[in-house]
Amino acid sequence: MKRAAPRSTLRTLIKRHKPQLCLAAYADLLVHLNFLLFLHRLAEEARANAFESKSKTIKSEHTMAAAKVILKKSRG
Amino acid sequence: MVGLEWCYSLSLSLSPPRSLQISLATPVPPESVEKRGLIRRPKNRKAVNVEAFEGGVEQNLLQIKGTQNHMAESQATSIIGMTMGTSDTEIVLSNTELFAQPQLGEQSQAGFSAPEQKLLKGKNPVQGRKASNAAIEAGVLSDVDAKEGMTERLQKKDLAQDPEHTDQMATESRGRAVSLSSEQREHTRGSSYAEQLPGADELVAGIKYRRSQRELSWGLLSSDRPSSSPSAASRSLSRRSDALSALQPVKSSRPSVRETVTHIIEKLDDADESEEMADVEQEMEDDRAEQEGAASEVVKSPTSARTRRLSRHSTAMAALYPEQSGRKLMKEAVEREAELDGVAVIGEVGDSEEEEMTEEEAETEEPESEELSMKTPAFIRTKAYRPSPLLSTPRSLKTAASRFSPKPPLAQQAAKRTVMAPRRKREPALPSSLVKKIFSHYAKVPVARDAFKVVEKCVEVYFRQLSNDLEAYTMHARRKTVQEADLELLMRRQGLVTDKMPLHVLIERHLPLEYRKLLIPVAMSGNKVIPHK
Repeated sequence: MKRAAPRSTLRTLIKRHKPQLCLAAYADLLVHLNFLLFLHRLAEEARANAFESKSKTIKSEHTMAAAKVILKKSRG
Repeated sequence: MVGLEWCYSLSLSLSPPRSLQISLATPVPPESVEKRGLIRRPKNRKAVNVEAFEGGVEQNLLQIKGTQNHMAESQATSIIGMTMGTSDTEIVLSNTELFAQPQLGEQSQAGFSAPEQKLLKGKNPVQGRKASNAAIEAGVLSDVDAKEGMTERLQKKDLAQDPEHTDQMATESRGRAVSLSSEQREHTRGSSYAEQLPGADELVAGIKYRRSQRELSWGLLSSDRPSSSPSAASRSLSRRSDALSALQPVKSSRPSVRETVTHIIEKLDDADESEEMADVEQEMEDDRAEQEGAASEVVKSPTSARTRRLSRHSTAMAALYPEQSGRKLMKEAVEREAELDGVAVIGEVGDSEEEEMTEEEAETEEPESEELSMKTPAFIRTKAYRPSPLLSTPRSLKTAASRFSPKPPLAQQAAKRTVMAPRRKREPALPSSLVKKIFSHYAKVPVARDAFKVVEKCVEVYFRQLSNDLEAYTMHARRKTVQEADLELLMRRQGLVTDKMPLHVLIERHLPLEYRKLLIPVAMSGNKVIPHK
């Protein structure tokens, strides 16, 4: 049940941040891959946090703590 | 020689055409004059709109919450005010802004702010203010919507031109001062008006008189400040006159109405304070303290939030809080109103107001007032009315004024809102549904809705970081285009790609569809490589 990668949206996003940059032909697919892996790591971390507080659902505080860690990790 | 002769002939022939030239020249001055007029208007409009809008919004919010409780009382007071007299009418006119009824909330809010300010400055007895408040409320009843729209427009014009009708403006400015943030002028006038308030009967008469005056003033385009306020005041006056005429026999309930009116005024003042200058606030504080004491009884009825706001305002006022704090209070008030009302529309209004305020804070008060003025008429019409965006203000005002239906269908408002929305540029953002799906798929456990908002913010930060890193890598390679190699380097630095985990494996794992084929070169028989490199 995977959806298609929003290639044009990704390109617009990067263009907005860095107008002087342009993406290669299939570079945006790799950007999408990077984005998926980022969300994957974020979800794993949030799930771990939720399990630690013995809750079956992921709450916003779990996500917040996870975000701090993962964002730090995903800095190149 | 021939040329010289030719020149001479030309010169001679030129003399007759001189008259033509002269005739041609004459039309120029009128055009320039017209131009000046045209140029002036647009300048003022902006300033006025914002103020009026903000004031209108605030008033509406206040009105909606408080007016409901004081509807009956306000009407009575408004009638009383009408009978007061011309001087009172001025006050009443401004009072009409305060609004007697919830629908008129928009108007009343603007009116409250203006009359309250003026009242405070005048330091008139609380009763006097109450009377004016009553009048304002009454006036707000019917024509508020129409008048507000008119006053707003007029205000714009007025700003451009100097005050020809200072008197008229003063009264009007009281009503609109709050919305238009023409605090200073309002204060001076407000004080004078406040004194006149005690004549409820006069108010009624005054309102009608004012209306005519306002209309005249509008045409003349008086001074900037008064213009904005007069338009508002005129509106309120017109409204009040209508309301007063209908409500006439309420004199007995004057004191109660006055209290409520003062209470309402205080609220408006609070809302408007943020818009107004510090001077106005100071004066208002003094007056408010008096009013609040009187209106404390009445205040109890209004929603708790309102009282809170009032109390905060009173305390804040005593402390002479700066404009910024006032603004915050206004925002808070708006937020609270949204919460209290519990109506989606109101919340949207509050949000829109906040958004607009935050977005346009740099632009100062003017844009806010415009927004408020826009929202005022809407509120007056109905609670459900949603403030349309700044651009759509004139339309919304016109429509509001024309209809003035107690509860316009939400659908209409929604339609209006959607129509307005496209005007604003939409920021490109990833579809939230996609993010939600991907995240929940990776999480494998149910996720709370609030958590998604956090994820959304995370994603924004992530993309910002990503673009920065990619730019750094590309610049390092002295290129201008981001290549796949840059992406791979990024993933390696992130720890996603290691010696044990090559990129292709990741691609095969996570990317769906034919993306794999596009990214990974595959050798086919016959010396073919797909994709073709």
